[in-house]
Amino acid sequence: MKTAYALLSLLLLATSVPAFAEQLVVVAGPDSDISRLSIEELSDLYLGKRSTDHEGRQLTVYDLDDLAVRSDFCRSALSMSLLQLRAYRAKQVFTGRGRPPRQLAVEELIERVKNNPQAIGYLPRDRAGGLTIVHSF
Amino acid sequence: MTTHGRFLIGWVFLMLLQSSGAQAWELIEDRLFFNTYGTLGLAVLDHDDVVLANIQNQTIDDQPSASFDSRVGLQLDYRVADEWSITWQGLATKDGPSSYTLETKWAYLSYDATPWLNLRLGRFITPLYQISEQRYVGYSQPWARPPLEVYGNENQFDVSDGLWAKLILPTTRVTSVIEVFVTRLEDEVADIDVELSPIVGVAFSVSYQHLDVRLMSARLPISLHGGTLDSLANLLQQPTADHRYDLDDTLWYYDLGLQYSDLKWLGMVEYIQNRVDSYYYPEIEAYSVTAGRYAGAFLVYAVYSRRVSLNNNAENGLTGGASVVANGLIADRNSRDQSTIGLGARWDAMAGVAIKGQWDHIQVKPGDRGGFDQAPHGHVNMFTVSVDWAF
Repeated sequence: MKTAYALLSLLLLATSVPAFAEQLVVVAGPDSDISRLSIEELSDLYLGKRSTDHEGRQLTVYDLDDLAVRSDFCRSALSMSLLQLRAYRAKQVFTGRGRPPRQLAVEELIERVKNNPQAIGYLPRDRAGGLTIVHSF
Repeated sequence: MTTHGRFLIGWVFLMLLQSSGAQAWELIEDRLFFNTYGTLGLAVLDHDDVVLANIQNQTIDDQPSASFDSRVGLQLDYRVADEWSITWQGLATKDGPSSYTLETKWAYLSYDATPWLNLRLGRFITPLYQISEQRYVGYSQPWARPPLEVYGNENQFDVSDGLWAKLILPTTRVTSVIEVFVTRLEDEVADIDVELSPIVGVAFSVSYQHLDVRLMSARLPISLHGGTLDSLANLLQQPTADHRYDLDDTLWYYDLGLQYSDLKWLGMVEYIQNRVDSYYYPEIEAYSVTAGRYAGAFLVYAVYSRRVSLNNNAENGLTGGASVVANGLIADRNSRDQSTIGLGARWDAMAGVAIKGQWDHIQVKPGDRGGFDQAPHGHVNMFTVSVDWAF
């Protein structure tokens, strides 16, 4: 029995995603008039339930291609694991309810957010210099 | 359209090998997207006296079968402009020893009139139940096999053509959505003309934190004609009959679905009911309850589901052959009642791929056949393993 528990524990450890230690922030461009987004708005935007914020602005959202950061954001903002999110997004895609956000590298995400005042993305706080922080975790 | 199964599966796996994750292939950047999903499933019963068949006449019996559950879905999305897009989705299912039938399940033009209003015109899977729309996308579901008592009531008439409007209501704290669909379906099965028109349905969904609730009601005027059906209807429709046996009537569908999901727990409940005056068609009540626990990349779950017939009073107003036919129809309907207790596990082995296993203990009353071809001797155990993917 002990061996079975040990094997199960090892399997769980092997398949789990390590927690990301850095603080995450959600950012908009320096010229954006978005000042604050609530956790509920972020959840709706990233789950494709809405495409606008509380002031009716239509926003474009971006994901990071870094697995650990994305997993951390998923737990903090969406209260989901990455595995749950993948299953949810499969449902969205194949029922015509929306496409998942584009996944970008940190530099590309910063560039796109800077160039589009209606775009948001999440980053480790130390990479958010010069950008408008609209939510901190 | 029929294509060779090995070629199709081989092509999809070649595409999967080139994939880097769960994102779509962008065939033209920001314009043309390709996605695929599918299931490779193996199932077996512990009884050699019964068979479970699906709509493609693929069966599960006491020999392991891969043909019942295996399928491949392909989707192309083309964004014409910011507000306009065109989507096609085909589903390939096995219909012979080495061949697949490719059927168009979705083909529509989508228009975002405002951020709150989306309109779709074309073909869709009619969204009668909570997971109707993604019923073939195994990867998006917790189970290796969705509850037979609820989703086994769907049939080959699961798509219809028409208009679908989705309106996001301006509510705060909760997300509320109203969907309205007006569609029609015409088909021919074994010399019988089938017409459902106009199908009119309204669904209201509310999401609050981890909880999603969906209420749906739909009206489906149905008409069946041809073959021996018309003479059968003439035989049964007599002034002395206790019940009506019209082939043209209106089915009403009702659905309540609840889903709760957080980082640790999963809960799903679905209750369906359909009502109709004509005794020619079955009235059904069915429900399923699922409870699951997440642990890392694993989900373990238990599911209970039950189906009962509602219009089951014997026909005493007819005599002779008409009485025999009517009561035979009613008795067969009653014998379809069954319930299932299931236990299963899902392992998300890699991005976009889940491996699942499920044991179903199917209970039917002695002498009833449930969902099988004939009455089994005792309760039936069904075992399913599957690999589901979505990219």
